[in-house]
Amino acid sequence: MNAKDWVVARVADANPVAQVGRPSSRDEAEAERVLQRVLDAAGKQRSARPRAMGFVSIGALAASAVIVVAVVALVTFGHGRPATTTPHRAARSGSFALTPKPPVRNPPAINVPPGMLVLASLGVHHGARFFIYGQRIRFAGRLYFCLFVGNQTMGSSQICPPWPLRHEPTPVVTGGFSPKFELAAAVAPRDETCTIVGLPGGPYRTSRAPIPPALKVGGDVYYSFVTFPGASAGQLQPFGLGAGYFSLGGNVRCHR
Amino acid sequence: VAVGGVTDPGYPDNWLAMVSGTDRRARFEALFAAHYWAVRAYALRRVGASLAEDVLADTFLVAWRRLDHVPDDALPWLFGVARRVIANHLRGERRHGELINRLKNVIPSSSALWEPPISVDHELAVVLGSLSEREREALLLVAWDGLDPARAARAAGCTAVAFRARLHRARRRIVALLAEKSSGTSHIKLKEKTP
Repeated sequence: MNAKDWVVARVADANPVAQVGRPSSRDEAEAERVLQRVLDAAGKQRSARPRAMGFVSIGALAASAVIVVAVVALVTFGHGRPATTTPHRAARSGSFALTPKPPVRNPPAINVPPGMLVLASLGVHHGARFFIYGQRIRFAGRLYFCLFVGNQTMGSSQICPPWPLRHEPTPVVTGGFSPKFELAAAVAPRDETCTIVGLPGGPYRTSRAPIPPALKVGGDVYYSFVTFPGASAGQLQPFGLGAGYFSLGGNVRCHR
Repeated sequence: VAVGGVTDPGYPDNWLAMVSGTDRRARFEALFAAHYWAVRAYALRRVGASLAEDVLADTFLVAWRRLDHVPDDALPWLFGVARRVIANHLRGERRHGELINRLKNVIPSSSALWEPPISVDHELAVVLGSLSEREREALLLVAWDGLDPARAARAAGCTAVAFRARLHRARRRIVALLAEKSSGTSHIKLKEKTP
């Protein structure tokens, strides 16, 4: 070791905050607090955006002006019009904007395997085909899906495209689950026989290919996988190499 | 895209990016979860526990606002934001201190030796304090935050060449200072530890 490396080593030895072990519950509470603080501040900023306010007031002003002009026009010229004129156009176009949003179900607190509980919380019932895009991570006692979950009826050879996610509001699951879900998180090694919690069939096998780390949280690395339909022996692939009917990386249990 | 032996011609190659872009909050939470502890450690090493939470909140608020601009390798970027947030905090505190000094009609100390926010070996603290702010940050990014020089340069907001120069200067100075010290000719000003 030369003198210069020695300097770095000497300074590194004196590192006052070495990252060792898991964060304490106090640290996790602090993390939650910081996250909430940021989201609150972000929400406040968004609602108090001056530009939007400007648009609203300009819009309101314009609407008022249009109404005044319309009333004046009606009073001035309206008497000569035949009564059979259909005044429904505005009402009809308004009805398009009143499409009800599908209800978002809350996660039920029942005793079912975690994987199925996740799915049930999304309105995906046993036996239904479903897909989950994205990674899941555990953080501060909660399980998070990074992305969306959707469901639809698919043929066995169909690949579920992401389009429905863009057109239909899909439940976004971020947090709010029981800490029980921590059990669902697992790190799956390569080329191992696995079962998937909540999924009948199998055994499944993890990919032989290098599995990309999804997220590193508090020293643990979490992965997401995609299973391919129709594989009787089951096959798990690193998420991102293709799209399958579901990814349940967090629910993989491996046996040697 | 062929999946499990099945091909769907209508399936776009960038589907993951498309889906990834759909939920801002989820993306932010993933970023937060992935890097919170590293940024926290960075803040603790520089400002201590009293200010770390504020620094973290401000840093991640910037990340939320600029989420679309956060690079794939987000950690150096977040360190860079945290560095600027800390600088702002310290500037504010310094201004406040100067104001009080002026009110007391006391000439402010110009030495402004670096004080580690948390317990660091006194000798090392003095040596680190003798470096310029940039040199010290370069050394700490490598030694404490574990970044390689290329990523550390991004965190420091300079080019890799400039960063290497800073790091080189820092190491050379420390070697010289320690050598001087061991030969008993040190002229490093030791700042008395305040109780």
